[in-house]
Amino acid sequence: MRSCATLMSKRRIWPGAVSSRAMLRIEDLHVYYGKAHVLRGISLHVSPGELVAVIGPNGAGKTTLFRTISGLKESHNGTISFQNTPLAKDPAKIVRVGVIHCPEGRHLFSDMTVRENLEMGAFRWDHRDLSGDLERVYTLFPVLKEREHQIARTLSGGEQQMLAIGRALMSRPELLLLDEPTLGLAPIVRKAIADALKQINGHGVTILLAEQNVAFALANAQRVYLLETGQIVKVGTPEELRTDERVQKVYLGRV
Amino acid sequence: MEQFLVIVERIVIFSVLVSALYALVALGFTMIFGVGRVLNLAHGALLMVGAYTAWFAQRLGLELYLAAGLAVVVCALLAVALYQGLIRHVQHSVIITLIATLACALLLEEIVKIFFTTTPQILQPFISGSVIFHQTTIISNRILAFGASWAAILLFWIFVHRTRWGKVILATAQDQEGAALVGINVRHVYTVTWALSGALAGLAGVFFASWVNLSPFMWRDPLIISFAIVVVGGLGSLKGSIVAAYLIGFLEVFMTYSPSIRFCADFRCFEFLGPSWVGVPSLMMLVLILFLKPSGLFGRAHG
Repeated sequence: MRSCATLMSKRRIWPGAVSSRAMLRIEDLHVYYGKAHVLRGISLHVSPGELVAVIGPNGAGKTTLFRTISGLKESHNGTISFQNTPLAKDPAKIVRVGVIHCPEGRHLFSDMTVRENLEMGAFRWDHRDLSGDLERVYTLFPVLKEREHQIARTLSGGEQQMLAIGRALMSRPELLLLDEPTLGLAPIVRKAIADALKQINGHGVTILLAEQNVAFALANAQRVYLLETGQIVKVGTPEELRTDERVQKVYLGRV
Repeated sequence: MEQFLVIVERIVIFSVLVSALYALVALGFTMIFGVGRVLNLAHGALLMVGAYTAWFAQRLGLELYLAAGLAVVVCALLAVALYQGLIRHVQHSVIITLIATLACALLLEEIVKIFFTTTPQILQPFISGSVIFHQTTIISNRILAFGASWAAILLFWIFVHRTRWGKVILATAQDQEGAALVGINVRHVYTVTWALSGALAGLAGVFFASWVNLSPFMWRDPLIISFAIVVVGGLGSLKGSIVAAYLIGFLEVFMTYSPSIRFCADFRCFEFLGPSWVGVPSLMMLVLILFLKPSGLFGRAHG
């Protein structure tokens, strides 16, 4: 028994040593919607503490990728591992290991107040130590404190997005999946979201961000994947993508 | 004039009493729709199973209190079996769900026919006798049904709005995907709501049997009532359901007391309004509301 345990722990330390630098590792992921082959062999990784963006046009598969990671959509092939362990297929279990998905369209509890929404975010923790977590979210987004007792449905788009991020933070993510947080928001709100992302990331939360707004992604991420029709066609630092001729033409509108 | 006042008094008392029961009948149906977006056409049949379970247990010599408890448990289990065995797999399609739940209702009707024949049966009431209020005689058991219905509705409201489990159910009802992403096991929530809905149907069945006799066809009225109440009140709205239950209950009782206009042609006579029209106003109102305000009186249009 004892030797077995030693072996197990060694196996975790040794061969994993290199790959353990990746917090999230996706290999050859294939996903279908009916007969449509939406993700065609995606491989990517995110290291602890990174802020990685996935950019690409509408319909490229960004949202499908995120939904598959968080267990809302099943994959046909490929592996997703988190902290060197294969990720479960059940959203509730995935939340419990610390992978938190802040979805496109926010999916707030629209008839609950701001505070109730945030409290539901702490469901994973059985609503323990609420006040400290609430305080952190309110510091990050002071407007949520002002709107504490307002019904979520009545918030502006930007406030709803802040609430969605706040609710995700209440789950204390180790890896935060942020899908299109700036969609339809005014530049000034985008700026506030960008500042918040930097702060969240600065506190040690690893972030995987999906963005159609390429300029926003390049300005905020440390590494960027370009996704087109279900395949990763380019990966690099924002600088590398910014100087790429194709990215300039198609996504940044420069000639 | 005095005669008229007596009739008004009776309409008011009887409609207040029966409407509470109607609200209870519709409660489980509303909840299943509100949380899982499923229209459970087997809801009336669950009520029937509750009534027959209580009746059969009573015939075996059980006290009605125990028999009613048994009915509640049996219906809760049956509802969970229905969800796990069938609904869960067809829930994504509204049409298939409607057909499947209707088929279940008809199947239960057949089963009841086989075991208990079509002969109407009577469930012995919790309390016998009647109370005379002013000039109106009220069957005591119906007052009990009224009290129990309101107690069940209030307990249910407290459960949903004041307990942690209730919050989880509300969250799932408001956004299933959002619920899953904060770590709620949505399927567990559905199972619990089906169990609750079944239990409420069982309880409603026991009390419904104090208004009508038991028969294999008794599931139709409660289903139509639930449907009308839920559409009129706004699908998934508890407050709306109660208001609608009172509207429909009042219209029905009013119809039983309204004078009918009789006109005869050749050898056939027809009645316009009056007791034989009892079932009409709820359905008329259902159609009218669908036409004028499809989201119901208290409902919001769902995206």
